[in-house]
Amino acid sequence: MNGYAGWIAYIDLSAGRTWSEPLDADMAREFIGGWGVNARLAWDLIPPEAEALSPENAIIFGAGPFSGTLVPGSAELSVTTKLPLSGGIGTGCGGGHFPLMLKSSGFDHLVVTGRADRPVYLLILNGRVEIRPAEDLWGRDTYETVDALRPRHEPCSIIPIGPAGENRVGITVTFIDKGGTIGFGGLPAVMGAKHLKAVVACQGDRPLRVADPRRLVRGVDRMMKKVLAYRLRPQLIKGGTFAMTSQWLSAMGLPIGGWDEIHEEARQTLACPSCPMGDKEVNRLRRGEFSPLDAYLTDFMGETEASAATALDNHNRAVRRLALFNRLGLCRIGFHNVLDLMVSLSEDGLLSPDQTEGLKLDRDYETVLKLIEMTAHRRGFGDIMADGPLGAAKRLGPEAERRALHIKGCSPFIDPRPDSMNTMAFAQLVHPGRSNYACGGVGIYMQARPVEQFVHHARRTGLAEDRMDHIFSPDGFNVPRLTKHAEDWYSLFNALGQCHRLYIHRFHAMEYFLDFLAAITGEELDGPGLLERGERIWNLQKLLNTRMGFTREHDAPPEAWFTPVEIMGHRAVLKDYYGRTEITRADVEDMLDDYYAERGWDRETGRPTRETLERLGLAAFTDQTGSDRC
Amino acid sequence: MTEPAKQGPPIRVHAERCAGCLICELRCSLRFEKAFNPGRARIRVRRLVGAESEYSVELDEGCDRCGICARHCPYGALVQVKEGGGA
Repeated sequence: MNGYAGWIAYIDLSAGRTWSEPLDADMAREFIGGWGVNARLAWDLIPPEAEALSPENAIIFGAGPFSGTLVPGSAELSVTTKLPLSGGIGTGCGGGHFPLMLKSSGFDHLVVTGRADRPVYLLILNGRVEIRPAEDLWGRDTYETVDALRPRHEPCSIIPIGPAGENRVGITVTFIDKGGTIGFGGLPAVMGAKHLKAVVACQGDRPLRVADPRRLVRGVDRMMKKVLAYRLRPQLIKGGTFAMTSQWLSAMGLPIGGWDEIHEEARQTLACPSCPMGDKEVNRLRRGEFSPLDAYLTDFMGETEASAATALDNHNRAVRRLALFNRLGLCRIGFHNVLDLMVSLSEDGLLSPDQTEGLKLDRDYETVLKLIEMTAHRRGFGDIMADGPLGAAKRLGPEAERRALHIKGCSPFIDPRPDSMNTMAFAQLVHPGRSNYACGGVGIYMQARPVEQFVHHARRTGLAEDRMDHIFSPDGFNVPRLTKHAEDWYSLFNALGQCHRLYIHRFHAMEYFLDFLAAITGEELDGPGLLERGERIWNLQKLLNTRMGFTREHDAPPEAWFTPVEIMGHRAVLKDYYGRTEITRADVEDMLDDYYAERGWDRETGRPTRETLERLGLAAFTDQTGSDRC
Repeated sequence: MTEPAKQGPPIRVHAERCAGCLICELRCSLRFEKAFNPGRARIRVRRLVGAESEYSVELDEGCDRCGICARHCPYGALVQVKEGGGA
């Protein structure tokens, strides 16, 4: 099979057994790869009733057909599992060397089930998977684990977990080779529950063949010419995402004066395989407080915002705190959200000193560091925080639960109040399983851009001309309908193994995808045909979750979104994309109606209708979901 | 390893500029093997142990200095010396 390694590895940790099966060609064609094939495998392999942290849950790693080739930025790995925070089946996607190494060793997907008696790691090399002891690694942080495994197996790519994962903390993430973030929603906790300390994919000797190498090279060269001519590329390569956003962050009033210079001096670019827009980095502090210190970052913008929220105006302290999050494998976004909840309860006298064991909950630097450690190790009050916004709130009572800011048990990535109810904010509500991020658009969708830019983007990403008027009008656009298109488009990225970070995504287009797909797999499709596969995969992700009982009520917006918030001295309320009118809960319900209609899902239940499933070739999944009863 | 069929101008390696994208290995393996696999390239990029972001870059004896790696390195880590001197 051109573009595929052609095999799936199965690992039963309970039995200590591994075996391989060929990747089914029809499955690969229908669901492409990556999170698409992961979802199809999950349908059979993750029982709906399985608890996230039980041996019955499966972790499915998937590469896509673009990965391992020269397609620029084709290094995205998808990992699908039932997540402890949401209870849904979700997929985390992250970039790094893992997909390339996995395919060079002969596999497109790994399926891990069961639970090992003792800590283990998986070693993948040349068509074989070994379960190796990892007692010596248990307790080590993510950086230490990579540093211990690297000399044993280089060239290789490593996905470790840190103490937070070992302790089954819900608000966890982990990393591919210290760099690409993966696993929002609690993947590391699932690995920890299985006593799986790390997965190591070694560089193997299996050749990855494509259907038409010359056509592929021509297409890649055409795209690379544009990438290399991009006027802001030198700035990005030199200063990373921080350099691209620091002026904007300063304008927002964030206390980052002088950070540019320090950051640029400390920064070293990291690129994923095939990527000419390496915007990840290691921040190597060699001067000042805490030096020498190396912190690996997917971007520095988020930490900058968190620094502002915690009144932190010291660059080196921000880097040190971020390194601590990453070493422990604790999710920064989840932690800060839970911290906000706890501080609010504490300030209003709703948390007693007994509950916090005398610790005064505050956002000062030292207290936050202490709470990070306590949460990652489930020590004292940290045991409550570890369960995430909803899980922690449930342990603290109804008022805490009322105040918890969550969507399906997970922390939102984006608070639309200071910005707007854009597609990325809305997409958080309707995402099945709540794990992935860039599904409702990328950064350009967030700011108040003229409608012409959206029309251009929609056209570039394959939206049919006869659908344009359905979404766009001279003075704006319909957020739920555009969200559906964006989801189908980004679904393709995750299935093909393609990165959708802003600075590489901006060069991708439907015409490139079709050309690359034909050159790699030999299959000629048109835009609507490929988009329909993205839609099919999206619907299967939905079915995986409706089968477990997820309904429309799980797509409800957090109550907090309808309460004004003070941000940088400004009072922000939820408004429409252009900031013209305030949005109420009833307005969001109308948006959900519109979204379900656009998707062909039942408005009352949120389930895909029988007609939709038949149109997408998913009719075989109908009976088991109850969709026929809609 | 078969003897290289031709020898182009030398390729200068600036390993400190390498970001680890492996485009050189991918291009090289496709040229020699008609398939992708970094391990089948005539150039080797390896992480330095203990420094996750630093790489060693070496051309192996099968390299015929065709320069495909240098032409496509987007980070300036590989430069083919031009005939008559400079890089």
